[in-house]
Amino acid sequence: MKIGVMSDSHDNIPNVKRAVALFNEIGVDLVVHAGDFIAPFAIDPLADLNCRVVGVFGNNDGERVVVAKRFEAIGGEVHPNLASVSLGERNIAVMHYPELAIPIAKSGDYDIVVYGHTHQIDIQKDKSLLLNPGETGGWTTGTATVAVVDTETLEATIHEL
Amino acid sequence: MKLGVMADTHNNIPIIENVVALFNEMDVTLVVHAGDFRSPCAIEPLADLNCWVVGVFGNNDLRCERELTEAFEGIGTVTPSFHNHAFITHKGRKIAVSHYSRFAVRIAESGTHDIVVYGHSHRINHQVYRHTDSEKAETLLLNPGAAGSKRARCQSAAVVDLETLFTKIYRF
Repeated sequence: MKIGVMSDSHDNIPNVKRAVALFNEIGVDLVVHAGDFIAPFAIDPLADLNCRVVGVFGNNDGERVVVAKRFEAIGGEVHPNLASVSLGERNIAVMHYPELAIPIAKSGDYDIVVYGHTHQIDIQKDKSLLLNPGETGGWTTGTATVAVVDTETLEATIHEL
Repeated sequence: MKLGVMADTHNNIPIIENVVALFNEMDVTLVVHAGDFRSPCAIEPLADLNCWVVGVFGNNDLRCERELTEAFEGIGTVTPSFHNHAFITHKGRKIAVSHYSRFAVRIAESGTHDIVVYGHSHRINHQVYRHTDSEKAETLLLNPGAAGSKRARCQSAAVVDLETLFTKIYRF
């Protein structure tokens, strides 16, 4: 099975749509978003995903009550500090901050630990797969990326949008 | 140089005032608060501190996050709500503050910070983790106890020496 991983979309709707199209084309079984959606309207394109979507709030997500409602409307969910989700045999933790993700990855509590915030791609394999897919928004680095993780091999592939 | 540590003040104004007086007397250079202020009136006495305050929200703070954030103006900083964590560096020490023990323990175990403060349980806890292959040789994990809970047997706060990590718990 495959997991679509995205973060820091920062209101870039065209890129969110590209990510959704890519994830649907690959046929991922779950999408996780590590936060910083920004406006509630940035959630709406995720409705076109053919799978469940789970997110966490980033530090820039101001209108959290409305963001949560939009997630609910598309059958998804959004969590405050950490989203804990399972796919097959794999346990996945999603959070916004690296300061939290690095210790949790080191603990080995989860198979996959996803974070965002830095907008930088990071793939580290130790006790857990620690993964930052880079930024969906592409505003700060000039390169918009998402990741796809194979739950069998725990290999992460980066896709440019 | 010393760090003042408090948590779970839950609107207990007289105790908060005592803690502020203690921190000023001890000349702490920063105060961290691990959340559960409960309402803005619990922030106001912190204005008398002679140093900056870094706070995180607790589970009982989410309904009045805006008012609490406004109350912090000029007194200190509080992390964006729904996030119960702050990560700061003060006097060369990396300090993590979380409302919850489950996050704090993992951070302490990982050895990425010198001091990890948490609250929520209202129970005093002081542990030193020693690391062999981490960024830090040792990490202090500290719950100062609740400074305001009327349910607890006593109210408490802590002062940490930033050089030695020697910690003293003060009961009120």
